[in-house]
Amino acid sequence: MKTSTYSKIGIEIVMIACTAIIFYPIIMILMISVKTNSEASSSPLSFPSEFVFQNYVDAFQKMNYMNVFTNSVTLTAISTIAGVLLYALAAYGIARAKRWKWLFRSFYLLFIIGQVLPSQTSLPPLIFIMRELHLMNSIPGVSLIIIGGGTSLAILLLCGFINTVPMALEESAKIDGAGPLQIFSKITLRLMVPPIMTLVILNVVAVWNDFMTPLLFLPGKSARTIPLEVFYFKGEYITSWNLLFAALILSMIPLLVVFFFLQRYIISGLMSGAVK
Amino acid sequence: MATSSVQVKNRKQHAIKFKKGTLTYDNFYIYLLMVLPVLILYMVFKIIPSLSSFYFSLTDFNGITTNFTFLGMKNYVNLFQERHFIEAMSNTIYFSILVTVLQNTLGLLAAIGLNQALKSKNILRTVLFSPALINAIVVAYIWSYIFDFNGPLNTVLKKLGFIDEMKTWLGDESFALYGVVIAHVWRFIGYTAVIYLANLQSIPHEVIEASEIDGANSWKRFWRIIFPLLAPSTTINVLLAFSGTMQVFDIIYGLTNGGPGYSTEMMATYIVREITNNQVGYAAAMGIILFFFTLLFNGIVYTFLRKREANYE
Repeated sequence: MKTSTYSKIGIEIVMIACTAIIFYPIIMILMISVKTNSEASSSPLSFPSEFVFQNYVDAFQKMNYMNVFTNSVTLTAISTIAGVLLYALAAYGIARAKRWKWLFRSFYLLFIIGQVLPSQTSLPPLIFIMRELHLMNSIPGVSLIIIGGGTSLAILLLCGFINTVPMALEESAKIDGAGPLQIFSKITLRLMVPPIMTLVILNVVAVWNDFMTPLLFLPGKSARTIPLEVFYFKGEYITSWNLLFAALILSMIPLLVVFFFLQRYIISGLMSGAVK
Repeated sequence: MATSSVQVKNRKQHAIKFKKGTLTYDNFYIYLLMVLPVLILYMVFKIIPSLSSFYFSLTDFNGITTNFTFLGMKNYVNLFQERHFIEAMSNTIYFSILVTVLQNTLGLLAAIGLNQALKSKNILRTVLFSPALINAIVVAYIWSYIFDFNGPLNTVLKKLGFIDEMKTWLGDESFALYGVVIAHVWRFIGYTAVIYLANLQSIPHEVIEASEIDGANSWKRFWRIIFPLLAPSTTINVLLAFSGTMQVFDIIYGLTNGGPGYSTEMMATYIVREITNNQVGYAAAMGIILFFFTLLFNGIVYTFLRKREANYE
């Protein structure tokens, strides 16, 4: 397409302006987060007249940042690492079983059914189950819910991939006397890196930002994750928007930093997850 | 299905006891062992709770003590007589449709913009995408500030002379739902745009050049050529937006908590509210209705999109 230089510049300006408007709320809270409380309420839209970084120190302490950050990291790490390993193992088992194929085929169908079950449908009894298993307020316990709930998408994604991997490599390893676990860990798992990365990214973003599961299963103060702490933070500091926004920024930073460095992988990971 | 996992467990023990030396490539048990951990977690934390929701929905179970009584269909009868639950159902479907339409329109526009030969393309894409990574509670609080009585929206509108009196936007029953829609769409415009953009970039240049030679103007070219070729990404985006919003919870919980009145109450927020009130049997009945509700509406949307895609092929 041939477009004149003027219209090219015009489109560019329009796009930049639109993006700036969309991004403005984040700039806005960034500016308010360094204002004094009185300036934040008297002139919310102006550029800060002085930078009060003390807000961040206060927010950091008041939201018990190190504690909630550690909780979020632990929950995300356990559910992602353990989850992805177990999913990969199960997907391999389903795709490569030699005998009783109908059984593995029905496992597969059973796993896929979860795609149409809303998480809220399983919630009411799950509360009871978690209480009975004494897993309330336990981060590893909640990871089990997340792993169980993420099964459908993971199996769909991984089985779809394994079915495209030719058997030849595995066959030759078998002739060399390798067992299925060896073949899985030395060959197939390594070939599965792309869909596994997709799964890791999907899982990290979802678990890190998850609010409903921690709200119901991690109600104790010491087990709170970042989104949950942010939620309660507003109730306690309702009148100080500057402090709240410092807390919001602090809660956004970890994932946005990761995103900044890995954005190409994250965007393509979230996309190939969406396509499934 | 619960029995099959028990059988599986027995087999596993059997395998370890008697066939330990024979866990080879062709052995059936090794594959069972591989599937087993996920199968157990999936059964215990997903399938069994979902299935027992059917049973608990027929009781007055409170989630704590097990001495509940069997009520039959009473919970369902009560639910459909409760005006607020009907309201939550209609809110949910209205919210889903509004978000799906808006998010896709704006996302597609952004994608078309990003598909031009811009110098700032990459940075714009990154910036537009970033709200999708912010958690819903943060998004909710940002927008609750924007809509606040002393917030920027009132300030700007008053300065420009659009309104005479400031108001608490989210306290207005006729506006609150649109406020939540705006916040939700804001979060996902970039995500939607990136999916459309990938599809746009896959359209071969020849197709567009050919239509140019045939004398199609850009309006015609978009609707007759480009838009039909975007059918795959449209399917993905519409399904993602629609099925995601049918179960919308956190942004509502953070922004309006279902209020004012029940004007932004959704099915998912209602369920969680009843769970925290220890009305677990009642919540389970809602969960079952939500299941059929999402199945029905997602099914309709999915069938429609598939048919549409097939027409274009």
